[in-house]
Amino acid sequence: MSRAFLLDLNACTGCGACRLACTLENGLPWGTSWRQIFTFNEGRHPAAPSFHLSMACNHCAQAPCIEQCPALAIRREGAGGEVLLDPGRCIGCGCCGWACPYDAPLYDEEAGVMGKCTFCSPRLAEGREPACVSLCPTGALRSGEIEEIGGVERAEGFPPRPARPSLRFLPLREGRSEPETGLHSASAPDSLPPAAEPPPPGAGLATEWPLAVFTLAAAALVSWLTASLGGAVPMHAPTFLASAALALGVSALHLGRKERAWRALLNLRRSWLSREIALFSLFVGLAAIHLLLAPRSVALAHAASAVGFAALFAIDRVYDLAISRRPVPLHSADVLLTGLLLTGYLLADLWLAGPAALLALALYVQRRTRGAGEGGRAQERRTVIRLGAGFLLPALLWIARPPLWWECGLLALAVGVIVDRCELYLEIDLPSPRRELAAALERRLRSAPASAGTSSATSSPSW
Amino acid sequence: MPLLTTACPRNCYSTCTMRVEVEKGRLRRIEPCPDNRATPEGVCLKGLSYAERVVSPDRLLRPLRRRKRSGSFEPVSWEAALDEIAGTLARLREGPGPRSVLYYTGSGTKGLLNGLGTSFWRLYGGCTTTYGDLCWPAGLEATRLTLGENKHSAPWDLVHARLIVLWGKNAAETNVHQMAFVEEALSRGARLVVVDPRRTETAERAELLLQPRPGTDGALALAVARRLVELDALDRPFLETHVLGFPEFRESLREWTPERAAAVCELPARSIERLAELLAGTRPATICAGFGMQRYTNAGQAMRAILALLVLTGNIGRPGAGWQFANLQSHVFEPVRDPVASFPPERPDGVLRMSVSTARLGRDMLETRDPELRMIWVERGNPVTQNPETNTVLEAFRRLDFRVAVDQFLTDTAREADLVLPAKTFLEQSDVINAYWHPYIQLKRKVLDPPGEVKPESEIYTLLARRLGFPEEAVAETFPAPGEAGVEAWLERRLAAVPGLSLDRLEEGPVLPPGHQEVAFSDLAFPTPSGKIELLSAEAARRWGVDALPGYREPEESARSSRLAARYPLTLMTPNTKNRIHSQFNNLKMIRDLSPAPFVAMHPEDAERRGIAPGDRVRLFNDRGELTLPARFDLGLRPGCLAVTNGWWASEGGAVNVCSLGRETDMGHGAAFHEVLVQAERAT
Repeated sequence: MSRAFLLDLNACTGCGACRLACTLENGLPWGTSWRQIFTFNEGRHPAAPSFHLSMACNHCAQAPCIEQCPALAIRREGAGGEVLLDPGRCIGCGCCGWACPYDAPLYDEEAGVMGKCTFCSPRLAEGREPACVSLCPTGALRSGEIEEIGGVERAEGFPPRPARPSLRFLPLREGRSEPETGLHSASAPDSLPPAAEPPPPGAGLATEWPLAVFTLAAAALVSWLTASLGGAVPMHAPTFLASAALALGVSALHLGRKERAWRALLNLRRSWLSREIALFSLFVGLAAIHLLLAPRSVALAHAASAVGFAALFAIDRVYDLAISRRPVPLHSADVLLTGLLLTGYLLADLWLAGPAALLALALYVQRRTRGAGEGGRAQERRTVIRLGAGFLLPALLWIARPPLWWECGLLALAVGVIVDRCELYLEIDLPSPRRELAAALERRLRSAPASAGTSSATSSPSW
Repeated sequence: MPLLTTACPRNCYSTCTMRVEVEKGRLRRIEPCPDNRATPEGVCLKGLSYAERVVSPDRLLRPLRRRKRSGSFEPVSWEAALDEIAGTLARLREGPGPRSVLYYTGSGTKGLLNGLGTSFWRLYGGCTTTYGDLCWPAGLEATRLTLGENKHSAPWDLVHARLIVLWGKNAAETNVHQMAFVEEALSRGARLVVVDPRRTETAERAELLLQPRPGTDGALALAVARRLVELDALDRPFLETHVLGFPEFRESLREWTPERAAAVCELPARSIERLAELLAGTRPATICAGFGMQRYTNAGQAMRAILALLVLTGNIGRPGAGWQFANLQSHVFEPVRDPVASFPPERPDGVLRMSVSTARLGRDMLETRDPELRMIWVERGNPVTQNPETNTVLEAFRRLDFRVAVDQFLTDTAREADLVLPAKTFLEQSDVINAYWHPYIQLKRKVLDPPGEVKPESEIYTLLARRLGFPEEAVAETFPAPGEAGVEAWLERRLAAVPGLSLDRLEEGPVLPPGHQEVAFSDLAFPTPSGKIELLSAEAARRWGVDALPGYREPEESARSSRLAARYPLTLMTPNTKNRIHSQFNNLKMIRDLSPAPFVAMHPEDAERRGIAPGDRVRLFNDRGELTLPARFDLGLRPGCLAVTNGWWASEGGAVNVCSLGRETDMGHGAAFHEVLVQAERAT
């Protein structure tokens, strides 16, 4: 027994009444809603029809939000298998939003927690339809048992379905394609600029800077501790521990409910975020014991270092969600890579620093040539800094070894690494219906032969 | 919580019935009411946004007075506000006379209580009022001249149509409930054609979209008519029995070859052929004509030509067939219906001076003499941005001595007023309303108390009447006693005039008017002078000076006819959007979320020619005014056309009527303000 939504793609006009019905029913802040409308071919390209996907939470059978929530705030409850988010347990980390391919969980600024569609379970309990279904002016939305509701699983531009969403479609009527106008020739896609503005970035540096600070600090601290074991660099326990505590504190800044930060540890079984926090905390704990209580315990120091690198690995896995489109699951700004590079540099160990630097360089070049990021002047400037400070300058200094070469090289390296890490946040590319719809339109336009036959207007006006 | 049935009285086709839940004096929930067969599903997004609208922090809750020097507003007591108005009115009545006051009403809300304004001004001794209407008179008059009456089949009859032509109507945005019937018809195999220069949401469902040059619908219809004659797709028995002037009309069509129309409309001749073939081969056919194309100088004649297509093919008076423009069957309280009710009377009564054209509001206000206008009272409207020629309207407003506006928000018009009186929303006073798409008469039940110091207009008028010393007897007879009981008694008196109507009956739900025709004209009775459908109308020629037959004339302001076209080659379209009713609702967060800011839609062809990229700020201008807005590309728009939805506020930089001109339509005293030529350039 599981409940599903059915959307009639013919009947939906994208009017937005379902959005407002949701706002009202759930007492959400005006101007926000748990239901969203995504439009296919909003710019009305002449070679494709336009239609809307009205979507709330699809109450997936294999909900990635449940898996990824570090605070165990999302559960499957209710008679219809509704996936419900408990605002009392949510820490406002946004992981569920990163995990959901449908952008269903949304951040509530006022409450500092995520919120999402409940399938109107209180209404269902009263035997009433969800508000969005009940109030759709054209009757385009329905709900019912998934086995009985009918419809099809796929719609053009609907994200892939590994999560098994409880959403079905009545597809576009046979023969409903773009209207014949005889006025616009269905030109090849490249000859026409995109009609819609580019989608807003999923998350940016402006909101996620605490994460950038925390992850870079983690890489630096793990490298520092590791390099200090061989005596290559001095250890200063108060500075180290204060920095570690500060890093943990900063990481909590991005939570909507900082006082519940401890809940981030609850989902060790499935959430990389929980593991990241747990491992990093363990690293700091072991390092603290080592530095304060057992400075001579080499085993303890090595254990702390190993746990630290494991924490860096866990951090990178969290970002697998956010940088979803890449040919290899590696990024030049991965903190594990950064940690290895820094450690190698601090140890002046070419066999560690060299390969790490070359791998980072290769990944960076590959990203740039693939066109990740927003483009433009600012990005060009960053690229120059990243390559110059992060790779070229340290390499030259290493070879030439002028006075203070090691310190200058470290500084340059740090600048390069910071720029790279910041770019990662600018490039956050979450799976979303908007992205899928744009990609689907592009696929359709590329596969459609440019139809040459359509005639243009009989006389050309003189504008 | 119990659900209370009420109905939305706003200026909209759908006039939805709804059930609302009120919790602790707040509108908590809105549910659909299936008793209304035209709107059985939910209300639209504007209806839902009332949850915010009634308690919006921007809502006016006290009378406001504009400070003379700074122009800002300060709250004043009702006592002070009414004393000031009454004092001014008393002075003006003595001085230049009562007709120095202009009483201006827009179409903000429907209801019998709206009539109280006119009653007040009659007791005052008269006033000046407007004639005509911004919206639809050209089509109303064209329909009245042709069929004798403005009515159409019930909305749900559309499911029986085999061919639906939405001509200049974007129902998905302006009449979303009609789309349920369109969908039902399509799922039964009906065909859909849309005529619109824009590829609208509605057009997505069409197999054929004709995108004529704006203002050339008449030429398109005449060419289709000619093809229908050629294809012998005529209903000859129907034409012989029920139609006046077919032979003359047929003769006049000779010149309208598809090639000629193709050249005029700038459409492929093949598209015109296809529409003719569909009309010839698919019955029953319904044409739904929209309101946007009413606002051209040739609109009435165009509407007559479009309507003629149904007449030729016998698509009148049959299920699934017909002309859906205005269904005034529920207008049972008016002795004279629109459009005639809005014409200046042939014999003025000497009290109300109906002398200012709504279309030319600004200029007519400035030119009014004997006496000149000194004061204006505005209710249910926002003429500063919604009437043509914003800058002239502003000049006329500013030349007056005293301005009163009744409104819920500080609109562009209210900002120009000396006194702004806070208005009720429809949920805060009961009234009885009609509709113009579905046939129901409904009780618009009061479900909330007016917030703050808000008073319904009925009370405002009563208080003013007492201050002005109108005879107590007349006041008691004219105005409802204060409070809901008084309103109910007043409504009951009005309802008594119509057989079968009472508040008790209306409380049960929407009521069909006496003599309702589910299929309009199924009795084949046409109240025209000849008793037949008049393709040839002597009255059209006599009253409006147009050809007695439907015909086509180039619009006055078009890329071909106007000397302006050399400098201003682009046509600025100002369509309506689902997100607003004219200038209302976009100030609410719920709506702003869907429609954050004004923009100009352009075809990339026009944009690139001017070096404009998406997101660039574009200056739209002509001799009358200018707007600067960000550009958005619309590949479905007819090249040569720009589109900015109307109703953005001047403070948002989107008041489109700064570029329009006040002039009347060829018939009906409508406003031909959709004929707007502009130039566009990248703003520096």
